[in-house]
Amino acid sequence: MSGTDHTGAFQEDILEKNYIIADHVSKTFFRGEENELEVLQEINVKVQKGEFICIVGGSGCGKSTLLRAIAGLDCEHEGEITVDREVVKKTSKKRGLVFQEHRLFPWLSVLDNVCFALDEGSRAEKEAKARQSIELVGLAGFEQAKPKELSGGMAQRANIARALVNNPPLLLLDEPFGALDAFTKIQLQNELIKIKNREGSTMIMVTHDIEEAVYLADRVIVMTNRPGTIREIVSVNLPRPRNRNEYHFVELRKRISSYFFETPDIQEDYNI
Amino acid sequence: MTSSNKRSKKFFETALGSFLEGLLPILILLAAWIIASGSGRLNPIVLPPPRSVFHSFTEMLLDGSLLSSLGISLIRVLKGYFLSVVLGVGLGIIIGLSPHMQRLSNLIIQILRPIPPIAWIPLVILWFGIGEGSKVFLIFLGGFFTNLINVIDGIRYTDKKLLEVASVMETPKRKYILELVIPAAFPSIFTGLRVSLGSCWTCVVAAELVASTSGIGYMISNARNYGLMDVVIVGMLSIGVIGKVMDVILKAVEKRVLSWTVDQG
Repeated sequence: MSGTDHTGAFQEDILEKNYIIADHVSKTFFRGEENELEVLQEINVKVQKGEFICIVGGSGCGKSTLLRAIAGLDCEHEGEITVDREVVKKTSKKRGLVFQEHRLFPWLSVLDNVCFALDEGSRAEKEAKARQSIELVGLAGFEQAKPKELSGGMAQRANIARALVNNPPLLLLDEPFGALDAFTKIQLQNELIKIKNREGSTMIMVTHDIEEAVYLADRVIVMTNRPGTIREIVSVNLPRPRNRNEYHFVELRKRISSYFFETPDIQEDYNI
Repeated sequence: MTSSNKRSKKFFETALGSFLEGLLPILILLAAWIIASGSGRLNPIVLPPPRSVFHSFTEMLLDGSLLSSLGISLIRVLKGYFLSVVLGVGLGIIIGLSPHMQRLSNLIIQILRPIPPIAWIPLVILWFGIGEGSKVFLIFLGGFFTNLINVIDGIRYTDKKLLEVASVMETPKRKYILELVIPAAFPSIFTGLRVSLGSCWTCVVAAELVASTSGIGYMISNARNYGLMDVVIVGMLSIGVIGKVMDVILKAVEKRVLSWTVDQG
């Protein structure tokens, strides 16, 4: 192996490790004079290529603001966000975003909603891609359904299919399963892991569900409230598929919970 | 829906039942009218008995004068309405999409809109003469602002959340306007189309006051000159019935076009 190869591999490695860099990101909302609300303060974080990151925090801690900043929807902040060596200044097809509400266009069928995300190629090519994506999220057979005919879980699947159809190397998810019932939620979490394994994409998900974060993430970013800062980044080194009732899983969940609920948990030992 | 569910529905909630219930007040008013006329204490010049109204109606129907008057008016209304839709929707889209255009046009629209078409008559006669043009223009005025404002508002108040989706997908401008903004404004645009057709039809009498020698408005004002109140009433009711029929037709079209909206079953 030659020396240049070494440096090349080395550089590649660094680039993969620094796939996403948030560098001193702060954001303040101004509501009239002297009424400022600091939403994000000094966010510094690096994300590796192919990582699954979950951001947890109470409501109003700025986690969605951070996600929108990475997506490029909200670029008025201090500091810099870099994704794949590019400073984020606007939205991009390369960064898919799944919103909490399905936000499907009500006048279009599921198929047309997914096709809407595609701008190139003939109609037939678009449809073929869209069908693939719809199948990937397990919604095959519902291509012609209108959004109002779908259940919450199905609509969210369609929403994910639409975000996936451009094969974005980075998928951002803003509490995508927040409004779903427990069964649908677990089902979709498993599907999401499958999709991630197949596509190899990097995923960042905002959630208020600690169990969901421990189940899905390679690392969990714990945020504090007002101003939103990173309290800790917890690595979840548990083998997959993960068991929600296994000791280490529960321990991690408790540890993350303890950041939000200061009461020490003692009840366990006194149970008879 | 299960059959037991259907049966438990009260009669007046069925299509036929609710129609009959709506008919009830009309029948009561008609009965009161018949009784009052029959009592002989009502001056037939002030309010002719239903019998003579019905008589004039059948007479005018049989000699074709009613239908030809209505036909002439209807064509005028459709011309004016068509113009108000084309210009109202077209300008509305341009204004709705551009904040500059909104600021430029807002005040002028707010001032022109409250002026009733009747107040335009003197100017319109000077500008268009007393021919068809002036009548069509007055009817156009009756529908134009309703269309314009509904299109502008429909576009301005598009769900920002849907627009964000397009922003994330980097949707090209042309597609953004044609396939997202305009379809999203459809419910509001359609409300404008329906309401403005009603206003245009309402304006027909005012329009035909302009030195007209034909149409349903002329029929009414002419009958007034001869004191033929039964003919006046036939004209009024024909306008009402036709207006209702046009609304029913547009509603049916709306239901088809807007079948995707959540509030329609």
